[in-house]
Amino acid sequence: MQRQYVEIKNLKQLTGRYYLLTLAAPLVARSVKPGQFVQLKVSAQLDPLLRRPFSIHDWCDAQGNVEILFQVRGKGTRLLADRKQGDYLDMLGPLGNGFSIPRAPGKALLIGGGIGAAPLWGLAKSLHARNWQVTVLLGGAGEQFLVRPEEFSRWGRTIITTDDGSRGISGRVTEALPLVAAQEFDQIYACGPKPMLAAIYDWARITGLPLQVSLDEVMACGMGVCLGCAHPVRKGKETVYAKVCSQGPVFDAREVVWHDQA
Amino acid sequence: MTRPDLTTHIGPLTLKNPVMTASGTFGYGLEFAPLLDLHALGAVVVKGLTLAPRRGNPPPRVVETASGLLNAIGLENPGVESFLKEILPQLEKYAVPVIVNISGNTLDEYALLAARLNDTAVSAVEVNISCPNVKQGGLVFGTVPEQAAEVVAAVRANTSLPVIVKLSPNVTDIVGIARSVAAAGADALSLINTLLGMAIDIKRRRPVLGNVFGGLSGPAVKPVAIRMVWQVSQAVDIPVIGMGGIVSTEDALEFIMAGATAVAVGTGNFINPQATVEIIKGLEEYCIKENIAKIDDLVGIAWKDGQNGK
Repeated sequence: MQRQYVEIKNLKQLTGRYYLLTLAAPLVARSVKPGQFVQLKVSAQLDPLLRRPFSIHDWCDAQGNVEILFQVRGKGTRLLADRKQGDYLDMLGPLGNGFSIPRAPGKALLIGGGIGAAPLWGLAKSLHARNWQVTVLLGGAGEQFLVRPEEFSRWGRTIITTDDGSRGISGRVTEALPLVAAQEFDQIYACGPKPMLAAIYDWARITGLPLQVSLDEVMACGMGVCLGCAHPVRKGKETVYAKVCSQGPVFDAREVVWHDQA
Repeated sequence: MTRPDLTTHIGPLTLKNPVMTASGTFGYGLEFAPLLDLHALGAVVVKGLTLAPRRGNPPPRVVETASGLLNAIGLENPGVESFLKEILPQLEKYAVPVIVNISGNTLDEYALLAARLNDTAVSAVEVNISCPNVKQGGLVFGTVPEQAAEVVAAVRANTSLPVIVKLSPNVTDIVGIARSVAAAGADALSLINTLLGMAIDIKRRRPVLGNVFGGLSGPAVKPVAIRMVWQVSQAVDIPVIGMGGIVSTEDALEFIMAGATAVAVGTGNFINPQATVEIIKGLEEYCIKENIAKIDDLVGIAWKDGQNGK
């Protein structure tokens, strides 16, 4: 983990709401694991006050680049989208634990909902590089909410769903689960809205497949000290709060308490 | 010019500079070791401890507001025994004074906690009578002068360490509480803790925080904190540690000039995890530029000069 000022090499709009930010960050590009994230201060002002967490979408060690694919959702992301090439951003990272990739190559199913697919790109690339066979289920509310739908097929078979039927299969990404033969896979990875992840967990539990999920919580510090991003997890018979930033954001889905009564 | 003297005295405790960390914003210090030299800090005030481990409040626990942060963590901590066994030995290696913030539900719990920290590597205790996010104790003790004094007396009777008392701003008369606590044997005061607040999620039409209420911190509360430091530092003879929205050297100077002998960076650590060391450097540079030999000469200068008719 480092704090440094990094230069914006490129910032482009992909669709109506998604932007791709390329940062000159060789130290991070060298050490990053798929699923890790960075905390960016989007402006030097005191409002918005806190840094914003962004999953790392892609990186290139040779060029020293790190890419962030983000959605404009509020004040912070709006300000970030308005920054210009050549600007510098105060960045803290890489943070969190990232996805774990079993050593022996196998078959992986990656399921991404909306902007949740952003970190799965780097994961797909890493799996591909380690000779894993990748299948991607990519969902979104509509076509403009799909993350790089044309390009994902670079890493393997890609199935697309949209809630409004504007592209691919009409319906939620979980409705496409019957289209894949669960028993084929050695590992499932998912990132997206919590109801989606809970539904995938229920499916994975029946099929007995290992599932890693990347959770999203509001964060303040991003480095495990403020205890703000608590999510209930199982520890033996007890339910305790895990820090999504430092103990996650990737969790074994069996540890996560999905239907919280706390 | 020779280097200015940043040495600071908090009762019997001597710090190499006046910059500390505010409890709950710096973890147990170790988390920051990759980013800064812990040894450079005046002191590390660790996340509040209780006798037994606490799970904390249900999420959501934090929400950003205009230049501020509302939190309702609920004193999640591993308990004092776990801290002494697992964490303190690691922190000792950095040779920085460690101040432990303690909270109890009862007078006995405060007394037991204070006693447990005797003969450890801990340099001082900070008595938290101001946490807005727990149902019992905490804030209840901090809003009634007599009760606040009872807590402080119980801690004082059970510890040989310097006793710092962290006050709540959620009172009508901060000076009354401060005097009462000082009379009960406090060596220093920390102020302010967070201001009680809340936010509503207009989409869900419900409170944002799982705990409904939370404590407001960050630059939004700084003017309230400055005012209270100004009032209290003139009313009591013990040092005041000022905190509330410090993110820069200028903020720290404002607190010192208002009467704070030392300052603590809180929410600022979340925005810039290196804020503490940058402020130490900034204070030194300011003293050099302004030809100030001792940082102590600036403490309360905003009201001291006023008394002198300047």
